[in-house]
Amino acid sequence: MRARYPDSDGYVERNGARLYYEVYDNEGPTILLAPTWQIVHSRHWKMQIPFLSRHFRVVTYDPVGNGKSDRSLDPERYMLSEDVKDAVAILDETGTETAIAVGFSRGGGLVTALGASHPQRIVGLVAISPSHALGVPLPGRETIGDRMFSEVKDPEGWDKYNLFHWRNEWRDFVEFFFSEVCSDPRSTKGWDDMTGWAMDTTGEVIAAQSNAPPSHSEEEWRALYGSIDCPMLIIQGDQDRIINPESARILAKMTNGELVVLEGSGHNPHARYPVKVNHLIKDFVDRTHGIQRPTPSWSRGNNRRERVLYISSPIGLGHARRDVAIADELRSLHPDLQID
Amino acid sequence: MTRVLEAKGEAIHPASRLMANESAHIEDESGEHDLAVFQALREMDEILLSNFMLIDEVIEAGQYDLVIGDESWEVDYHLHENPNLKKTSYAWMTDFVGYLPMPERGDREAFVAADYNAEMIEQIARYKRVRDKAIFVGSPEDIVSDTFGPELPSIREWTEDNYDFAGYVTGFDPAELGDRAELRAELGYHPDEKVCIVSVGGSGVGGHLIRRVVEAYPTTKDAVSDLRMIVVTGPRIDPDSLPQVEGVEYKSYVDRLYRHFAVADVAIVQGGLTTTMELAASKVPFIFVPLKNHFEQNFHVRARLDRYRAGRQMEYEDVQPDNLATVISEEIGRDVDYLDVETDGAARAAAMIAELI
Repeated sequence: MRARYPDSDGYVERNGARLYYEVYDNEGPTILLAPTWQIVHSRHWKMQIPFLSRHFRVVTYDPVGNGKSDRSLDPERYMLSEDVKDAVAILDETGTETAIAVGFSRGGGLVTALGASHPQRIVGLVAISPSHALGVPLPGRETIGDRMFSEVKDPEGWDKYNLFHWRNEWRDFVEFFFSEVCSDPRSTKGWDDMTGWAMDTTGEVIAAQSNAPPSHSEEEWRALYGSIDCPMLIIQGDQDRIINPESARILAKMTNGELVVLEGSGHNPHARYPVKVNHLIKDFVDRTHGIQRPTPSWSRGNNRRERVLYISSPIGLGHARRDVAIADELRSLHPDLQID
Repeated sequence: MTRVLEAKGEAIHPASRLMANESAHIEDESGEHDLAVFQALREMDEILLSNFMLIDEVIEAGQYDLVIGDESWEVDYHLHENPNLKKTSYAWMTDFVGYLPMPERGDREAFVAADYNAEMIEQIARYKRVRDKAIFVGSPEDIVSDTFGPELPSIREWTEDNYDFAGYVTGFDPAELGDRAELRAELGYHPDEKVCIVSVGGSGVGGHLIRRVVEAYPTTKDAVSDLRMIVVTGPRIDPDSLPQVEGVEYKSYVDRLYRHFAVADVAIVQGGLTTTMELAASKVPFIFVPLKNHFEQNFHVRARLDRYRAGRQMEYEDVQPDNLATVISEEIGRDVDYLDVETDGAARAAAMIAELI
């Protein structure tokens, strides 16, 4: 079960493909949780949606190629310019005039392009482990983009990043790739989740996506990134095995963004360290929108009643009776104790 | 849960209603008397995180001195992951330590369970300052003899090093229930009938066991002619959805069920700790049927009941009319030699916690 279900959901059709979106209602600014590479779908935001939607309105959607959106085998449908138009179509369909766009990995590149091309709609940007057009590969990974289009026999390691291998041994690639994505210790759950979502699409779809023609030249990208004047937050782990952390620095410099480095973190901190990332996003949205949270009343130390928060596991009837017995005994030792 | 607490006059924090529902999630993950609870807990990660983030805001606003977490997995895990969010003293309680893989669930579960245990061990070693008190609800002898996994410590030795022991806490003292015959009469049971209480706890997982037991009722009644069977369905199973068999009484909720257990002649329950230990404390013969793939019921609870010499385990597959009738007729009204269950556990736990205020 999910921690929170959308208040509304639906489809929007654009350029031959239907896109599935979800809206989590709330007052306040809208956060657009954008898609990443088609290898996963919008469930990769599962650790963000329940928290963010308690404070803001949240819109998310599945990319063409995975989740409840259509699959396309037309490489042109996966051009970045198409992805940007999809995002705008979602904003329009959900009645979202302006939003702060949040993207992860390839989604970091997407939201940057979205913000640069639609400054009137995007008022802030958050890019987590961003993959973008002006990034640099990790050492040893420089030629992978050239080799991925020719067949490699029994590939090992990053040679599995190969269109032929995706088509023939999708599961094998997925398991390898997410071992690199979820490289942080104690990440079995993230790996299980992500490999599961990856199996919702196919190697054929991802091969089509990887054949998408470039939508801009390097010069055009430079101009676009340089034109960004909305606040931008970039979150980057220094142990990322997918994206060179240097790419995040480049992006921060070009966009005048704020870079937060997560030491010891791999590629997907929003899944592995969600508390930190959620707080970073919320604080950024508050700052960007000048939101003042009310200051609760305060008691001087000696004026406070002794107060305990007692959290009782609610699975089944749990331990209600034992917790009541312990609370009673505590009150006999501290008669003025307030227990919530 | 909240019904019991409110009945006792406890103040329920208003944020409780905002918490994502763990009970419903657990039911959603269950099959026919089958709950791979370790996997269910893993699948609950987003619910636990969501609840932690809410609790964190409640603590921030509340100027609390102390947080007590009785198996509050979300607080314990995420505080260790984010130790600088600790704002109060913190007491942690649990009645079992260590995820144990179910052999039927294969190597992957064994690997993952050991990985979770190793993470917990690392967290405690690195951040001793997070748990100001770690209380085991029980005694060292209750702990399983397993290790946390390959090349990991013995669960019992590690727990003895890292916990204080309160003894078990039932929340009631059988001696204070008064005279058995009087209580039995007060609760509406006749001296000349043999009372069998069937209870499956508060979640909706137990519906299949109820059906099996009710199916066995006619055969059992043949063997035990003065049998009276009362089935407590709990709040999440509708009695009208169950087979209506003459002689079987359904109740959706029974106030202070432990008093009924105390005067019963036999009980049939799942393998949950709270219920089985209520029966152990009252020295009532009982049959327990652990949920399949539920490591806590199959290993941790089992180890504790073995120590108290309490209860008779049946596998769900064996709960068939003829078998069950035989077992009930052997157990019903039998004298038992269970160990006494502590009655000072709550006071001991409270004394440990009180030092933190």
